[in-house]
Amino acid sequence: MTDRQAQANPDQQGAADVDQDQRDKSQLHLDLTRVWSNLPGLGGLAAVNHGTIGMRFMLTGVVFFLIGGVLAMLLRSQLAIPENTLLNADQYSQIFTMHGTIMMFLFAIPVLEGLAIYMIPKMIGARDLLFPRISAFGYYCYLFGGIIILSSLALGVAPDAGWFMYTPLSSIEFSPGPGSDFWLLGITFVEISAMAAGVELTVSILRGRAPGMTLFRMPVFVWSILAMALMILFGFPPLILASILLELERAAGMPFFDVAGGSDPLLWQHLFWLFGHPEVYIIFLPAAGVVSMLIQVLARRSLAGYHWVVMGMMLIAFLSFGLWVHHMFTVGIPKVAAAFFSIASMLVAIPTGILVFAWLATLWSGRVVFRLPMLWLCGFLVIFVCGGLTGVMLALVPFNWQVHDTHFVVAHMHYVLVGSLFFPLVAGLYYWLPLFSGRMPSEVLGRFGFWLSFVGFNITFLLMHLTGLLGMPRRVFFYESGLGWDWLNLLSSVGGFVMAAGVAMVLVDVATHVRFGRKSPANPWNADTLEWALDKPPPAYNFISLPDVETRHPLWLQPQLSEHLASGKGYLADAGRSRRETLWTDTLDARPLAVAQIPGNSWLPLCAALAMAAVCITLLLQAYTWAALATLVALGYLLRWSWVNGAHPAMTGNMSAGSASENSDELPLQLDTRDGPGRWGMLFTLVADATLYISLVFAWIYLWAVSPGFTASTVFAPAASALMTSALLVVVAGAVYRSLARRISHGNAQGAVARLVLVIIAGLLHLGAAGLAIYQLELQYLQFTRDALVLFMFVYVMCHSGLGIVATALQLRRLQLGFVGTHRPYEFLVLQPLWMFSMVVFLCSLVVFFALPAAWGTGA
Amino acid sequence: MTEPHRSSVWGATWRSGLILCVFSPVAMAHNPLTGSTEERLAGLLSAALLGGMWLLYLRGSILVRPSLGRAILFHVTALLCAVTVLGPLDDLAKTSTAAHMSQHMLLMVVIAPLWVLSKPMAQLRAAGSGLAVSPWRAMVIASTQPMTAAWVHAAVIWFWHLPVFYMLAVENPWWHSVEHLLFVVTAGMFWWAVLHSSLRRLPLALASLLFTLMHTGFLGALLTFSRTTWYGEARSLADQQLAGMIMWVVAALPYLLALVWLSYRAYRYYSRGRHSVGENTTGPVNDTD
Repeated sequence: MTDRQAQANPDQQGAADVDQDQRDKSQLHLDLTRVWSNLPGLGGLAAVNHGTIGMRFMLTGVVFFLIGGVLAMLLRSQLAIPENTLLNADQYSQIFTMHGTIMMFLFAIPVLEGLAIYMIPKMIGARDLLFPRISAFGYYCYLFGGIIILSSLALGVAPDAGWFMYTPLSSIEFSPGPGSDFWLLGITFVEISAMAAGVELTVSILRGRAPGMTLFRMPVFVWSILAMALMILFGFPPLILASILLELERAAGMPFFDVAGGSDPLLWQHLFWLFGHPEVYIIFLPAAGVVSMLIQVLARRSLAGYHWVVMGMMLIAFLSFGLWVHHMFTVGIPKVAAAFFSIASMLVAIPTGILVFAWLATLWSGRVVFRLPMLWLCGFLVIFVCGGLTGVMLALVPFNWQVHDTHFVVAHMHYVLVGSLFFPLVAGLYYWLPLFSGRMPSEVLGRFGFWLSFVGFNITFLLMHLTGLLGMPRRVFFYESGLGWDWLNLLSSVGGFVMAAGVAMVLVDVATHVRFGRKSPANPWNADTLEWALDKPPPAYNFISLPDVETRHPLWLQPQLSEHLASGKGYLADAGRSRRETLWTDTLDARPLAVAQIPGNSWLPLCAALAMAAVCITLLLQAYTWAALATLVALGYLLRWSWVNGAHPAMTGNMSAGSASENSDELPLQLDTRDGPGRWGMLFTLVADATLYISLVFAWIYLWAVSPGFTASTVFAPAASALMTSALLVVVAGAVYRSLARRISHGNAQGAVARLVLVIIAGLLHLGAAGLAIYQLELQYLQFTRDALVLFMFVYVMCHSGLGIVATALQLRRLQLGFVGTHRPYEFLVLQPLWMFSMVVFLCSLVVFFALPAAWGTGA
Repeated sequence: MTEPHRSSVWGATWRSGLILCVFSPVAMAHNPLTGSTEERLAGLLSAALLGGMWLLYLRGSILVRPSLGRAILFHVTALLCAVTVLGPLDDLAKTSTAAHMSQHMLLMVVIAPLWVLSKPMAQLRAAGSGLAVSPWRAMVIASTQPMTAAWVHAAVIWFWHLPVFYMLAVENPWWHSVEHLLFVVTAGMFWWAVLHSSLRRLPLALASLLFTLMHTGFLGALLTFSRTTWYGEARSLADQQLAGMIMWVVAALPYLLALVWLSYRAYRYYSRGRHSVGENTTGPVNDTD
């Protein structure tokens, strides 16, 4: 078409523009797809894209859910009639332990992580999370860990000490088989995925949001995931520490929980519930986020009291860390403590009340669309409020004593967990199904599914309250008839199977909708958040160009946004540099600061996770030589991973250093700044690490205060000089490293190599002196809890400084290769907090483990 | 120019004298006059320190007039401090761990933050410019570093809970005064660093609050769960448990409040002048319902 023709026919001109737009768009689409797509075939295992990984997380979680559900059916079958002989005591113990373990560790948390990994970048208007390889690594840890745990069931040696593994029942004396080892090693392995998700979600939400999306323009779901991720960072380390200690006790005979060595079995309960209570809210908060988002869309108005809801969520997250004692009312804690924690537990009713009333107010003042997700939300509201009320009952100490370890607690727990997780999750599933697949689910099957689940659930668990009040204890596989429990148990079992039918209905619906569902409109629910601006199903790169967010409800108030983004008029509408990019923005007001280059498909996560699975399996087989070898291999992969990172040429794509000005929007490449994902990832990882260390200190001081057989003061005089030398050397290493990082970031590379070498030498000498100190202390770590804890502390601090030394050596090599230097000081700044951490932890340990007991005087 | 100035100095002296007169029965009813000579002297020292600061503030408020609210806050807090240090709690503290804990917690999480909120530095500085010596300056610098202040405060708290030093303070009124002084000063630095932190340091301020909340909770938990009394046979275990709970749960509330307040302040700052469309819309179709 010539210009003249175009002038003659403005309509055609317009059509031509549209054509041109379409071509540009599809060209951009092709370019971006080339950069962002997974490898074909088996290469899909190297995928790191958040959409792929999130979906895998969720699907795997559903599979584990079904397995856990089948176990639940077995439990209910056994209890359906009195004196049943379907299962014996041993099988029953294994099955209830595995049911709890699978539902809590292999379904609830991973599915929410998966949902978050899938959804967060789409909601915050980013291309991907900031650490994609960490997503993949987390997924494989979860998958392999889950398979290892499940294999114990197949082998008939599943853990059978309850999902909370109380000592001494789980100790080697009372659980001699490998069951508890499967639990401890497998769960610790799975926890890696939670920690990984915790770090990457926190950093991505704080620093990866689309320009303009200030903190208070974030959808409530994003807030809830931020709260969840932070809670994971503070909540999981106590459990990880406890699992490591218990496994060391079982495998190596170090008496961490053994009264004979001077310990106290309640230590396990404290560490477990320090994790276990926040865990309940780790599960509930994302679900509450889902509910808040769905309610505002389905009530067709913005959420009432947005700020109150956000504040309530943060308050819940915070309070949950101070309440763990209310799980231990019957273990003999001081009565005054029971009274205080009873009151403190009631406090939780305030923020949850805020949430519930905000939801009700939204529904009340909105014009509610009663479609499938809304139905499940109503189910959620009813069940969750009931669960909360029985929670208030259980927080009353006398009542708690009365119903402790009866089926009343089981009923309460299921009301809370199924109410706060399963129902919102299915509501969310139906809500986002059109996004996942581009098709709408069937309203009929979905409604059947809901009513079966809802009625079945209430039959099972409402009656179970009564069973509990009539005195039926938990965890018994057998009861005599005539105790008044017969009909209740039978009905509970019937209800259980009705609910199973409901779940099956939902599954059938989801499975068939992929083929038979009608095509979804662009925004089927008329939703307000960014994920609905995407094509359905969403492409790997999410947005053709990244949005500029002006409001909390972008799709409601910026109606042209979808087209605007799709036509490439937003940020980063360019794939010319053949590398994956997303924006690095400011925490509070999301000003774009830099372009973050992020890694593409990689085999490293899979290899590292496989090697770690090998470590796990060899430990279970007690083949310690092989375990050591596998550990070395795993370390090798992880170090290789750290090498192909940051300023490595493979990461920077076809860009040579210094040409960052070619970037779109004239933003610098994040590597050329002083601030970036690596540094933030390091900081939040160290936060979790510090929590683990504090848990260790807690164990130490707790035993000191509580256990009569524990003496804290060690005869450290023979090792005093070695300890002091070691402390001095780690301070030297840390200080020199810090000054070096400062000098380099100020553009002064003089003496950098010498300084790095000095750091390495000081670090090695520090390790040597610490080793000497261990030798001189003559620790009897197989006999005394105290000595075992001191040894563990030494290993912990030495691992950290050892890691610091290796990383410094790698930095030295990278400096020589020219990856880093005064032009790119960033990596030095990433490593600096690790040295500071090693330093502080070593000094703290000297104070807490040696100086404090000595200063305490008699009785220590 | 000099006349009104002089008259206001007179006014201040008169006023402070009056306040001391009003206040002295409280002070005299207890420690300074009733205990042993040493106790009386130590009590007088505390009273003198407090009174000195009060006078300094009064003189300063003539030179730099504080707002009414801040002045009231300062005076009320000073009164509270006097009652805490010299009042009945001090006597009870000799035999009860819980009373002693309440005294310390009042100093550290009520009096210190309230004083900090009353922002008395302008007045104190104006009145006591001659007192600006280098250790003072180091403290001022530490008061801008939330994490440093939190560490110092933590060290002081744990130090005085070691049985040796705890008993030393209980038995020796001089050391008790030193303990109180250290508690108030380090708590003051901590709260100053936290409550008056710049927005850039907000994450540090939040982190140091969390850290303090955690380690005091820790210490409280240990006191609660301990199966032996730490501070002598004479004190009952139940008393120590109550002390632990006061530290663990009750004293946590001010820290929580501070966390909420700091977050709210940051939110207010960032939402100011950023009132964009539709933060409170009624839905996809703009009808009010």
